[in-house]
Amino acid sequence: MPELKVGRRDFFALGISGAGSLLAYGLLRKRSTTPLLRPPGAQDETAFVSRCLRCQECVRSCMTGCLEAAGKEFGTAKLWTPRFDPALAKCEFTLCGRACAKSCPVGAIGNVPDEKVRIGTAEVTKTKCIAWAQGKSCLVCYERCSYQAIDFDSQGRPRVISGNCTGCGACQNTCVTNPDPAILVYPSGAAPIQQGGGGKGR
Amino acid sequence: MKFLRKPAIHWVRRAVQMAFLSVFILLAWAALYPPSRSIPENIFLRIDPLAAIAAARGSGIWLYLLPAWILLALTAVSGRFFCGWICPLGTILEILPSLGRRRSKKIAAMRPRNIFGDTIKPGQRRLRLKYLFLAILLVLFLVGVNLFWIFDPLVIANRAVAFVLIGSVPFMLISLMILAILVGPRFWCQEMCPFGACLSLANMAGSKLPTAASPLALVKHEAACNHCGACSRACPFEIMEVADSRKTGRLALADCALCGECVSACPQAGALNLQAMGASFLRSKKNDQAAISLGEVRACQN
Repeated sequence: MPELKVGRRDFFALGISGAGSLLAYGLLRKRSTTPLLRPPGAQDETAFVSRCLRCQECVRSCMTGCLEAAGKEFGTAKLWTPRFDPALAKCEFTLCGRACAKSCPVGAIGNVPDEKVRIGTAEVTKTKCIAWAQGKSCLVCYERCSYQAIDFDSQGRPRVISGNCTGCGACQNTCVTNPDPAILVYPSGAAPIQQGGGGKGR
Repeated sequence: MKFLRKPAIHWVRRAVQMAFLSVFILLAWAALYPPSRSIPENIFLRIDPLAAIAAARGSGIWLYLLPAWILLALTAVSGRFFCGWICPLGTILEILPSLGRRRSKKIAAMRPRNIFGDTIKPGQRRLRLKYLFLAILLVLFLVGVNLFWIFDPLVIANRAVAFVLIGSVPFMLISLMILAILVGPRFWCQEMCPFGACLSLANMAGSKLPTAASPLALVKHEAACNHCGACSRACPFEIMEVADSRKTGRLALADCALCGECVSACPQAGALNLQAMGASFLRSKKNDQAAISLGEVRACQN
């Protein structure tokens, strides 16, 4: 029976392993369930975060450059996961052939059919929208929407038809109140606080 | 002519390592839109057993990750050749400390080395904590916390390329580089890398395989060995079992990367061999004359 020798290096490594375990425990506790905007086909947040390797292949492969590595502000457990940011670009999932899903080495981004893609839902922040707040006439989000998800009420104020909205982010990306857009895409499940001005505008 | 002191296999391996590192960086750089139809741009991530484990969670992409299973099978029949010859992170960590020669010598004297500093009895084994590390990662994965992204060497390297290309700082890679300079070039690979632990376990599973069936094997002839320890001192992975082993035949050491440095360092003719399917292609002291003409004085040093 060969005897097992534990040297100074092993204690060093044990210390590092212990620190790693503590870090993991911290991540466990800090695990946030708030969904982020994800690449199309990665909307099951828990399943996605538990598979994603943070390798940045999808971020690199995106046609429009609408993805970025999520920073610390979204929680340590989600550090460097791909985050869809409509402020960067809109998601052209019907045109790009799902480059992000194809580049993912672990299949964390599913290849759902185009008509089933729901990255999130846009919502108008009525305190900021110039049609709602100032009574002006503005058609920009309506014109940029590719999915007929925006219509107007009797006074010409834009509303989102949530059944049609795919969350592609074209409206948020182009809203004239940039850089603080009055129409924001929210992940499904993260209901916007109406009249409260919405979340962070970025 | 100073560089010729290193044996030929060293430079062959460096060339192979640099070639794979270049391919890795090129593929990571080329992963832009549109995705290539002919070149699998994420192939390095798909040969990763940890990625295969991560993907196994409720998905039917086993076939997509076939390269990972092929790598595990090849490792089982040979050894951790991936770590010594291919791994881009291993290449960076191994070459980096050897660049600053003066500094690393000073630190090498400081750092706690137990290669022949301590008395090592034959058959004595060191505990490698990477197995514990891998076990922790697997348990955490099963309870739904995926930490492979922190510790997977290929992911660290891939992310480092992606971050450098967008002008961000690859903190993980830099901290591992500092670790390599301070503690030892292959410390990460030997003691911490969960990828390496997977490969070591695969190699253990195939350690009973006969030499003739192994595509790449380190073979020892105990009768020719004088246990001088030159092999373990030359080993980039600092494996003592090469010198300690009383075995004749395929060593199949769990952590051996089959790099051939020990074979070149061995002063005893035929004590160590690298064999492919039972045919020896690198033998210790194959040609004494050639070694002397290159200024090899290793035998005198022992």
